[in-house]
Amino acid sequence: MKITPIIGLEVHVELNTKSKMFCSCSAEHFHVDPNTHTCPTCLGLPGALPVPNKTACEWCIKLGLALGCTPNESSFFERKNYFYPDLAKGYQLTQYEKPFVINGKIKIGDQEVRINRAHMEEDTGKSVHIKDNGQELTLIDYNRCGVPLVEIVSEPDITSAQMAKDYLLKMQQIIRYIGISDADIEKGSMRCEPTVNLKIEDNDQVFYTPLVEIKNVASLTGVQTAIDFEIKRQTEAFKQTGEVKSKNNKNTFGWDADKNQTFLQREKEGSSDYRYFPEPDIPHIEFTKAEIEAIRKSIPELPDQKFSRYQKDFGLNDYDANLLVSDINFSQIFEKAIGQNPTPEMAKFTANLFLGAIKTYLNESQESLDINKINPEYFKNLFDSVTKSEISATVAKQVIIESYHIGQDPVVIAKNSGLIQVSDSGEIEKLAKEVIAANSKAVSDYLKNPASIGFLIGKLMQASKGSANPKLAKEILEKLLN
Amino acid sequence: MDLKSLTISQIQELLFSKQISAVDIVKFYLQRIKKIDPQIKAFITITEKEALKQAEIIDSKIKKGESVGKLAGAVMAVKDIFLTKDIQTTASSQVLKDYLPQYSSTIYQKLIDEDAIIIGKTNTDPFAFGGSTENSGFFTTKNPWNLSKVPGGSSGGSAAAVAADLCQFALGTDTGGSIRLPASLCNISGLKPTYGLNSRYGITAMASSFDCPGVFAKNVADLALLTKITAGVDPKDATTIDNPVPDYSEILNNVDLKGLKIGLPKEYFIDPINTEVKEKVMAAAKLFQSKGAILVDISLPNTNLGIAVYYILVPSEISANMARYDGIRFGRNTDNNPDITSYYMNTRGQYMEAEVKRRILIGTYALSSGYYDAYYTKASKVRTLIKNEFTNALKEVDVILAPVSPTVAWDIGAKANDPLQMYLVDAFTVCINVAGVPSVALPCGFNQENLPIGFQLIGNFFEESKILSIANQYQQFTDYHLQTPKI
Amino acid sequence: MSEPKISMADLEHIAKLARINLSESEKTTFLPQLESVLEYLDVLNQANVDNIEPTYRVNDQKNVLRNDEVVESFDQKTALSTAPKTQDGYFVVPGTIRK
Repeated sequence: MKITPIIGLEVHVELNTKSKMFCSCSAEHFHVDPNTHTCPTCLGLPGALPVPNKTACEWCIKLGLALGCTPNESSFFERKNYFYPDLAKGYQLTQYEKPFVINGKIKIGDQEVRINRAHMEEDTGKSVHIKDNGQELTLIDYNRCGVPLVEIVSEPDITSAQMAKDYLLKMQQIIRYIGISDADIEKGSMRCEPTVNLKIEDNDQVFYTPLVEIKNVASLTGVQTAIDFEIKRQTEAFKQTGEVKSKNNKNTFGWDADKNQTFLQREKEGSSDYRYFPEPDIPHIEFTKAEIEAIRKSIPELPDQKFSRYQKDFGLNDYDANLLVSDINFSQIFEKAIGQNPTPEMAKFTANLFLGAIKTYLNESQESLDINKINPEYFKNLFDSVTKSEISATVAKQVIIESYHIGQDPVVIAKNSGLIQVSDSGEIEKLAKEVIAANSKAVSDYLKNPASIGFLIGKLMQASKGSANPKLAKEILEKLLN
Repeated sequence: MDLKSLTISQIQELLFSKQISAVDIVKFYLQRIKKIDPQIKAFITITEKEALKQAEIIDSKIKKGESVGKLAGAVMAVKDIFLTKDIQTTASSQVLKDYLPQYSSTIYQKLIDEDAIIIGKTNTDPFAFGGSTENSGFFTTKNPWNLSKVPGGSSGGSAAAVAADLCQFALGTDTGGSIRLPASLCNISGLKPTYGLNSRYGITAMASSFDCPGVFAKNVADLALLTKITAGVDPKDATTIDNPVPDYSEILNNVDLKGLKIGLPKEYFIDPINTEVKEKVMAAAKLFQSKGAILVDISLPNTNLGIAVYYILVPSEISANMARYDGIRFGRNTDNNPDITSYYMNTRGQYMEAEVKRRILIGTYALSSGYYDAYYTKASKVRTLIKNEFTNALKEVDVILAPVSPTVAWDIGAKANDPLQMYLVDAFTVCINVAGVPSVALPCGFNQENLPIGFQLIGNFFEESKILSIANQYQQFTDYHLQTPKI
Repeated sequence: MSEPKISMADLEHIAKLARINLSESEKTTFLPQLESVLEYLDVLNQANVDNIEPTYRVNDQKNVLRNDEVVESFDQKTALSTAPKTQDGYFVVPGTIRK
C-alpha cells in the first residue's frame, strides 16, 4: 500500500498598513485597549460604508507578483455572509470570483508548489472567553475587525509535513522581503489552515481519503505536528472504514496544541452556505498595466534571486548562502557590511564573520543588529589586515563584536589591545628559541615525527599571547629544529 | 404670523428683513405639529429642543450681522432612517427603538451646516421596506388629503409632513419609488436623484446599489436649492460621483420647451393604470406640447420585468445589509439566551417587523446555493437590459414623462395583507431605480375624490438640471402644487 | 399547478441561515406569501439574457480607493455607548466556545 499525502495550504497574512482595510481607524491592535480603534464602518453601525485602502490593495498585488501570479484585469469585492459576533457587519468583505492575482508558484528546494490565488479581505475582531458567576460569556474587541488580510491559497501540491513547513518559511521570507507584514505566526499576523487528504494506492486501485481542513494551528511546529497527526489518523481511519472522499464529506478539524491531536469541529450552523455576492458599496478595481509595472518594479530582490547571486558572485556554498538570505534584515546588514562591489574573497570573509562570530553572538545575547551601526569601511580594513596577516582570523572574530558595540575600527581595537600579529622574524625567533629550550620532550617527538610540530607552534603562540603570525612561527621553528 | 405654505425663499425673505425670527418660525411649526400631527402621525420624534437651540443661534448670528447658512430659517423633517447624532433614530423599527447614534449621515449634516433646522424625525416603513408606512413598527401615517388613505411610502412621514405644512422640506430615500410615490400621493414635489449624486453614508442601508437619498419640497425651485447642497462626492461613500455640482437654482429655466422631445413610454400608460391618473398625466404632457414640446411615443419593453428584478436584487442586498442588526453593538437585544445562535435568532425574531423578515428571507433564498444563478445572476443581467433601455431611449428623446403611481392613494389596510399587491404599487417607479437614472415627481391634478395625482420626468444619468428645469417651468404654468389639504 | 417553489423545510432552513426565529403562525403566514412572490418572479423567464453582462452597480466608476491614512477613532466610551451589554471595555455575548 503506497500512501501519498495531498496537502494544500491557505495562508492568511495581516498587512502592516497604517489604517484598516475599509476605514481610517488605526490597524494597530496589539496591546491596545479594547474597542479604541473603531468607527461606524468597522463596528458595522447602521449606515456606515466601506472605502478600500489603496496601499493594502497594492500590497496584495505586490505579494502576488512576487509569487509569480498574474493580476486579474478587473477585480471586485464580494460579501461572504455568516453570523459570528467578531464579524461586525454579519458579512466579511473578501474576493471570491475575481481575486487581485491568480496562478503563481513557490519553489521549495527542487520542488514547486502552485499558488491558486491571492486575494484581499478583512480580519475579524478578537474574542475573549470568560466565566462570570458560572455563566460563560464572550467579550468582543473590534480593534482587529477590518484590518487588511491577504489570503494565499496553494494548490494541493505539498506532499509532507516538512514540505508544508518549508512552504510556510519560504512564504514568510518573501512576505518579509517585500515588507508588507511581519508575518509572525505566533503573534497571529500569519495564519495557516492546511487541508489534508491521502492518495492511497493498493495493488491496482487508487483511493482518496476524505478532505480535512485543520483550524487553530498557531505555530510552525504546530503545522508540522498537526499534518503528521492527520496523515496517521487518516491512514488508520481508511484501514478501518475504507471511507473515501466524496462531495459531502469534507470535515473541519481543530488542532489541540496541548493534546497534540486534531478533533472534529462541529460546523458552524449553516456556515457552508456563505451566499457570496458582489459588494455593491465598492466599485470595481482595475489597475492599469503601468500601475502593475510600477508595483512590480517596487519588489526588491527576492530570496531565490539573492541566493543565486551570493553563490555566483561570492562563491558561497548552498548552506551559507541560504543562511544569509533566510532573514531579510540579516542579509541587508550583510550587504551593507560588504560595501559596494566587494571582491569574492572580501564577501566570503564577511559572510564567515556573519555566519560565525556575529550569529553566535546574536544567539547568545538575544540582541538584534542595528544596520545604522554597520560601517563597511571597518569590514574592509579588517579583511585587508587579515589578508596581510596582520590580524589572525581568531582575533578578527573577537574584535568585530567590540567594534560593533563601540563604533571603532576593529583594526585599531586589535592594535590597542596588542593583538596585531607579530611578523617580525627576530621577535619570533627569540620566542622560538625559548620554546625549544623549555620543551625538550616535544622537540624529540618532532624529530621522530615532523607532523607533531603543532604542539610547539601552539606553545609559541601562547608565549606571544596569540599575536605571532602562525605561518611564520612554523617556518622559524622548522628552520631552528632542522 | 401665518407662515403656512411658504417656500424656503419666501420664509428667508421674512427672516432676513427681520419681520420674524428663526425662533418664531420654529414655534410656528412646533404649534402646527402639536395641533395637526396627532391626526397625521408623520413624526416619530419631535426635536423641539434641538430646533429651538438652532433657531436661537441663527437669530443671534443675524442680530450680530454675521453670515448665516444658505438654509437659515428653513425647517426640515428627516426620514427616521437618516442617522442623527444624539437624536433617536429608529428606522421605524422596534429593532432600533431608543437608538442614539454616535454619528450623523452626510447629507443631513450638510443641511445642518447650512443652518437648516431639524424639527423632527419622520415615520417610514421599517428600514424603508414598504410603500405605505403601514409596515412601520410604530404606527401608520395618514394621508393629509384624506385621513383614511395611505400617504404612500416608504418616506410617507416626510411627504405627509411637507404636505400638511408641518415643515418646509423633508429628507427621504428612494430605493424603488419611496420618494416619488408618497410625493405623488401627497401632492408635493420630490426628487430621486441619479444613483451616486447624494451620499448614502449614515443612512440605514436597504439595497446598496439602489438607495438614493433625496428631498421633498413644496415646489421644484426648492428641490433645486436643496439638491445643490446635498449633492456631491463624499469620501465616505465610494459610490458617490466626483462630478462638479451645478447650481441647479441658477439654471432652472434653461431648458427650452420649444422643440423639446418628450418620450411617452407606452408601457406606463396601460394596465394597471387608473383612467383618471392616465388622463391627468396625459394632460401634463399636452401642456408641454402646447408650449412647443414634441411628444414622442416610445417603448421600454422590459418594464414588466422591473418588479421581478427589483424583488430579487433588493432583498438579496437587504439580507446582507440587515445582518448587522444583531443586538450586540447597538439596538435592542433579548436576554437569557443559552448560546450565541439563540441570541441572534431570538433578538432578530422578536424585534424585526414581518416585512423586514419577509425581505430577508426572500433575499437569503435567492442567494442561497443552488438558486444564485437562477435569481441573482439572471436578475442582474435583466438589470443590464433595463438600464440600456433607458439610456437608449434617452438618446432618442430629451426626457421621459410617465405617471408615478398607477392609482391615487388607497385605503389604509387595503393591501396590507398581500405583500405582492403592495410590491406592485411600485410598477411605474422601480425601473428608474433599476437603471439608476434621475426622476422628479410633481403634482398634476386631482381625481374626483380630490386625491392628488402626480407625474414624473425621467432624465439620463446626472441630468438633474434638465429635469428640474422642465419641472419648474411646468409649475410656472400650473397651480396644482399650490393646493393644500384642508386639515 | 406547478411544483411549489418553497417548502416548509426550505423556509425553516433559510430562517436559520438568516438567524431569524419564526413563530409557527409566522411560518404559516409567510410560506404562501413567499410562494406567491417566488411564482411572480418567474416572469423573468421571458427575458433573453444570452450574452448579456450582469449589472452589479449602475455607475461605471472604478478604483475609488482611499489613501492609507489614520483618522481618529471613537473613544471606547462612544464605541460602547449604544451596546445593550458591555464589560471592561468589551461588548458582551453568550459564550461562543463550541462544546
